[in-house]
Amino acid sequence: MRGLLRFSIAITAFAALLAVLSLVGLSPKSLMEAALLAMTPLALAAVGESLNQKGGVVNIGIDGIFLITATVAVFGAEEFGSGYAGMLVGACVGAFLGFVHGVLSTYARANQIVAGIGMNIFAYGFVPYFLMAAWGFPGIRVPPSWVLVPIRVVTVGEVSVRISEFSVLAVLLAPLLHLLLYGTPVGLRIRACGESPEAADVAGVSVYGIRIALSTLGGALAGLGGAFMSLAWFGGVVKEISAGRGFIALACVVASGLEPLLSLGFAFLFGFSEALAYAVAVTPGVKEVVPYHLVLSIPYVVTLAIVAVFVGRRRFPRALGQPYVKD
Amino acid sequence: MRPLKSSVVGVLTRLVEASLALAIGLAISAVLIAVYGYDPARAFYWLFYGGFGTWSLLFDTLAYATPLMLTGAAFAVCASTGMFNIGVEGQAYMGAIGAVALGGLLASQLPELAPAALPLALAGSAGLGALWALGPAVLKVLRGVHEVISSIMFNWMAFYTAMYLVRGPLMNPARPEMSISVVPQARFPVLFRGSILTNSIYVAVAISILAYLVLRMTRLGFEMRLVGSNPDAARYAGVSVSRTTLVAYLLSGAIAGLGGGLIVVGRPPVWSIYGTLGNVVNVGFDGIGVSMIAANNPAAVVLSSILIGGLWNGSRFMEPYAGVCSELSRAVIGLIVLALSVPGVLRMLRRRTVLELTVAALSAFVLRTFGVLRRGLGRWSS
Repeated sequence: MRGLLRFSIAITAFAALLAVLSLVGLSPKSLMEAALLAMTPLALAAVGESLNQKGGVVNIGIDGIFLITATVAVFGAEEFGSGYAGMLVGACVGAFLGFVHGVLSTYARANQIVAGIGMNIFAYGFVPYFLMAAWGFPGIRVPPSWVLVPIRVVTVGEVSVRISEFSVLAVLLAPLLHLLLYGTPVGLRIRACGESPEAADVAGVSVYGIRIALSTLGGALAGLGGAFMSLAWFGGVVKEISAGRGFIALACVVASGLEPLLSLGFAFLFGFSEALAYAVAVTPGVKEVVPYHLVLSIPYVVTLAIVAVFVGRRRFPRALGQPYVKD
Repeated sequence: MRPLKSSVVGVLTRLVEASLALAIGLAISAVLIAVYGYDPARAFYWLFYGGFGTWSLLFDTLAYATPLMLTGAAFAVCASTGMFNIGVEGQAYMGAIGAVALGGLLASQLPELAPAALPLALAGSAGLGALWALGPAVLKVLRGVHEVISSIMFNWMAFYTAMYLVRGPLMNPARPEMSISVVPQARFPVLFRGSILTNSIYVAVAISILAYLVLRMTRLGFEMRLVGSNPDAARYAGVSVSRTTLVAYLLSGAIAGLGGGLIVVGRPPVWSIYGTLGNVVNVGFDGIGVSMIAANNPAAVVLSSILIGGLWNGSRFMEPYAGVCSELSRAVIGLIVLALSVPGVLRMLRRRTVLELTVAALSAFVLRTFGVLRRGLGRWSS
């Protein structure tokens, strides 16, 4: 009951905000469309990572996975001549990177934070190298528009909305994974691996198997998010395309206390703040007064504020980030 | 004092481990280079010739190593206290801004301050670096926000703030593609004619060694290491964990800020920040690699920064002579960090080879997946 009340208060406040914004000349519809686009990569990665962390593995390298998959997805799309093939390539490469992180965090007993930092630094170097090696042009690639993933126009009555099927997928995935986590035996095992890997192991659960599988799934979803960024949202790739969004996705996960449903909500909030920042930055009357570069840092400020408010109330799995060593 | 023999063995093990990680990094990059049709041998020849091939190239390498030494030492100080200060990147941006603001703008506006421009610029970098570290530190102590997430947000805020300042209030009116330069009194003298190596390297070495001594010889350093290795024991021993965390983070931010500042006051010919921040970006992230290779020991950072500085310097030669994009050197650093994330790579290697380990992990995973599938199918059909 209290949850429902809070939810309706949040919705009312949001509607009021949209009404105020429409008074200054920002169209609520185009803002929402932009927010959904910005939300999608964050939501895909955050939902996967919250499951991963429930199983006890932290992957700080999501930002690197975003970067690498955004780039190779464009390559795949051009090779196969289809944006959807590019999305698949992105998901597969992301799954591979997640798998590597999973193996490092289990069998190799790596320090997961250090491994994630390594993945990110590798991506910061690999992506410019790949852009140069594949297309011979530094720092940017804009593919021909027919290999991009189109944004659908859905018409309901008189209103037509631009929306991507991957945004719908992201929104559907959150409740599905929530059900998996809390309604199935598999979910129980996942949570056991995060809370008490020793007990799970004694009960016959393969801790390493579950952790590697979740890390791979998290990587695949982050890869889908990265591919979405370049192929559907921006329509091309630049070497700093992720702009720290991997860490914003991590912030969603942490602020939600590893709950897939809540992290979807936070992903929307961050997506909206980003859409708002861009809209404000180009609004006549505002753009002359507020410096462009300072407006662009709004999403990061919002992220900090939200994490600072919510993180203190959360409880995290006991074995989160700890390598499990079998005796 | 630890027995000499065990320290020698420890240092040697670490050296072999670091070389092994470097070898793994280079081997995987060689594959990446070969896949795209370049010649790995040629690329690595120019990478290492460019970094260490002649005396003058070695001096340039030392010049590139100078700021990396400080960002590395900054990360090491925090790591000894059990924290990952990924924010060294943003703290270095703000340090460079501090040097330009006090050593450039202020010193040129008030000529009577010009004789003291160098200490002023250094104080500006350290102060602004520490200020940028204050946010993540306070959020961690008061709200329990993990420093990795908060400091990345501060990195991006630093990026956009620095971008705004360099193209706005701090822009050089004569050359709009960069910020104003620091006044001549704020520049470290060049050590060798024609080289970009300046006296600033002495400052970097001194601060790294000082950081080591503080960690090893002082009460504060002992408390920091205690909090890093076991916060509960530290609390039990009466050490204030929040205070130590805060001090360590601010210290780290000040050192990282100095690292960014030395790029401005310690490297010819521009003595300023490019409008793209091109000469400052990645100095923090590569400093993380420097610190990892040095096992987060601020004194050993002096040596490992020369290796990474050499990769930076040599990559400028790899691009024109072997065609390989210079940024690949950063991928090598990332791979080195990945290899070093595994504890005791060497011990593991002695037992069985990395190849066998990978194969074992892969096959175990595949077999398990098939087992699960088969069991699932069996249940389905029965």
